[in-house]
Amino acid sequence: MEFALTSEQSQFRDTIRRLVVSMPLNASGASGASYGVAWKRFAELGVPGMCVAEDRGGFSGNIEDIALIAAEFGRSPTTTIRLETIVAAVDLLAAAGSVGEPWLKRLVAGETQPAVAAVPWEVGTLDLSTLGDGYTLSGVARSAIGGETADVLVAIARLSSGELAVIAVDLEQVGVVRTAYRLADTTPVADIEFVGLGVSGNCVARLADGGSLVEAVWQNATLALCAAAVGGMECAIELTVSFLKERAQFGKPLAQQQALQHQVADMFMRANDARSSLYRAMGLLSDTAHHQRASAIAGCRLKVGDAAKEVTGRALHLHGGIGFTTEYPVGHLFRRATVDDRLLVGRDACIAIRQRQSTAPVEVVRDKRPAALVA
Amino acid sequence: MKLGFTQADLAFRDEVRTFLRDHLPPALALAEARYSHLGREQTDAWQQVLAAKGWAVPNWPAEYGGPGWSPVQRHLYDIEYGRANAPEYNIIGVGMVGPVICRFGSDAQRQRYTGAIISGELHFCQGFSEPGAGSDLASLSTRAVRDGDDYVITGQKTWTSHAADADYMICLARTNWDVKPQAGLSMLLLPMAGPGVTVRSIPSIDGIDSINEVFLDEVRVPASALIGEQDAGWNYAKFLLTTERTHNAYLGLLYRYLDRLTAADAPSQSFRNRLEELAIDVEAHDWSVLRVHSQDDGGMGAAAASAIKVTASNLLIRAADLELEAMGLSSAIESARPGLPLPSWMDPDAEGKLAQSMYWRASTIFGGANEIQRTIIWSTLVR
Repeated sequence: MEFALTSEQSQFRDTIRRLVVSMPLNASGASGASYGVAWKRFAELGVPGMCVAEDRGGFSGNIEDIALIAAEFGRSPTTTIRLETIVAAVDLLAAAGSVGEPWLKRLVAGETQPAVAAVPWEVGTLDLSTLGDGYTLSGVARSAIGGETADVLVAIARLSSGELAVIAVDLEQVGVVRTAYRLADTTPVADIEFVGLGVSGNCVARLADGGSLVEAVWQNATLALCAAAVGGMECAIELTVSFLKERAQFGKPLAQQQALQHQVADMFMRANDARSSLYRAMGLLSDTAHHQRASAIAGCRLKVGDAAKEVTGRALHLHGGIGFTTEYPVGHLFRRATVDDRLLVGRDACIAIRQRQSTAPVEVVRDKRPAALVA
Repeated sequence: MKLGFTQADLAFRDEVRTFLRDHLPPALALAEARYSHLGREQTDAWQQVLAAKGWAVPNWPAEYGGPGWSPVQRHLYDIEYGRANAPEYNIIGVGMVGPVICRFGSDAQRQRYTGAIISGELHFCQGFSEPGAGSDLASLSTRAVRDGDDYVITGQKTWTSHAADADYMICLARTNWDVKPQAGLSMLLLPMAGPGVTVRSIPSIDGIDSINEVFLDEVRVPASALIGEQDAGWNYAKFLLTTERTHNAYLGLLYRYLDRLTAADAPSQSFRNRLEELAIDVEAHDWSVLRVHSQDDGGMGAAAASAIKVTASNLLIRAADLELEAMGLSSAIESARPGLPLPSWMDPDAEGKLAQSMYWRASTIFGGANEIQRTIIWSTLVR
């Protein structure tokens, strides 16, 4: 057990932090194009490669390194790149054998930008039918992160037999329909739709054990998302402390008001326990006891999710009106915590996993428009 | 950074688990499970078993009798110990006096006290709070006046746990009136059996009357009873209270609650869900404690220790409340004092549970009230 960062880890963290800080505040106008620009800069730095294990040609793949980068992304009120997208893409591609290998190489080299659905294991959204030597693909990858500028969609699709497959679909081809929009924290996303698109066999990797891939993806992606949220909370606390020291009311700095001091202390306690929960889940990741690992990650997700909303929301409150403006970063951190809560695993799913009612988060599409409106 | 337990850590945990399973007397474990504040007559024999094993003072430096464990081992031990329903003993002596004497005491004091604490020969109480000095501890007014080779101590202490059980009090008294309040305090070891000491029990809502008033009327102690330097007592008290805050993490007890509540018949799905959320919070707290032990503080050590104290008290209250809920009406019966009449249908496991839940209400107050901790956290953040 070693909590302190190695000198390489702290150097790398500082590099990421500098780059994150240099990104322009673009809260109101973030577009898919700016995401593409940011992606290029992080790719040049080797960030995607850090999420790939060394034996697959990457630079690390360690959960500690991934969490370190994610926390820096999470601290940033401007970076909409989500490390969990990369982590999920890497896990999916790594499970896809020869289908995934060339994309994985390009990812490490910084030559591709993958899109992954907001809930990568969402069941019933992408369907494959066999057709001769290949397949036809129908359905939609919802809220695929980075989807407007991505050149490949990495996803889980279902065959009519019920079998799961990883697909890696080149998005720069005819027949791909992208509808771009933004999540509330300015993350550029796109619905990527296919209507009977013919795809060749070398885009589809059928899975012998789809269940364990879904498990690996939700667990690793969730840890990355939680690490980012912990970074966001710590940034919110730092911003709040500085603000309370500067802002004066009733003839003295707000920092002298005990009622406010104690609220900040509560924020610290929530964020600190959230970090501990993350560390625990990371520490038990290599635990061979299956349920123990899933339970720790589900617990971490719930703990971090609740804390992130509370801490960033409290930061918003303590800033008064200024926090409510898009000019100031604290509101963005709150919006991000709110969006985070809808991504990957939900609160009820976390409880169910811990109570052994399910082993993986089963997400059913439930946001469809009523039939009358569709017609 | 490299997180996770090693095979050696897990082997150590198994060793502790096995030892406790083989050596902890079941009757003692049962008594402890009912109400976790046993007297020395109940725990002394068990403490001697631990002393023989070399585990009686896990929080002490190895050179003075501690087991020399790594922070992770110490942490795993605390959890296993509580989970096995093993009782705490001589909390003030083992938890506070020992560490203070090891760090700041004279050689003669180390010689006199450390071995006697390990063996269970000497028990201690803490003489800090006074009727006029609670959260504002530095304003205390008990006086220690130098008279030849002695100090003469006069004043009143209150909320003193274990006073009737103790051989010595670790006493904070004023020795200097001409400086700021914190700079005029000294720490002394005072024999409870000597002339001038009167202990009076205070009836308390937990039904156990675990707290006392202690009156000190010209109690004479030799100058060798002074710990460290005269007028430097506040520094030692701060060291001691920081030790106490991590000591007050109550991890073993929290896991004990979770084990019991998970094994019990849950009254509803809503109950199970609240229990699950409690478990999630306990697990996070667990690693916050581990981080403090491992000094993963990033300069936030004092804040993190205070956070542990606040969190532990809140978790204990939640856990105890859930347990009362699971036991239904049985848990509302006054059952802590021996000899009280009880209805035939009462769940025998409910005995002592109400008293225990009441006691946890004191945990937001003792060891520095939670608001004092929040102020410490803020001062660390703003530094």
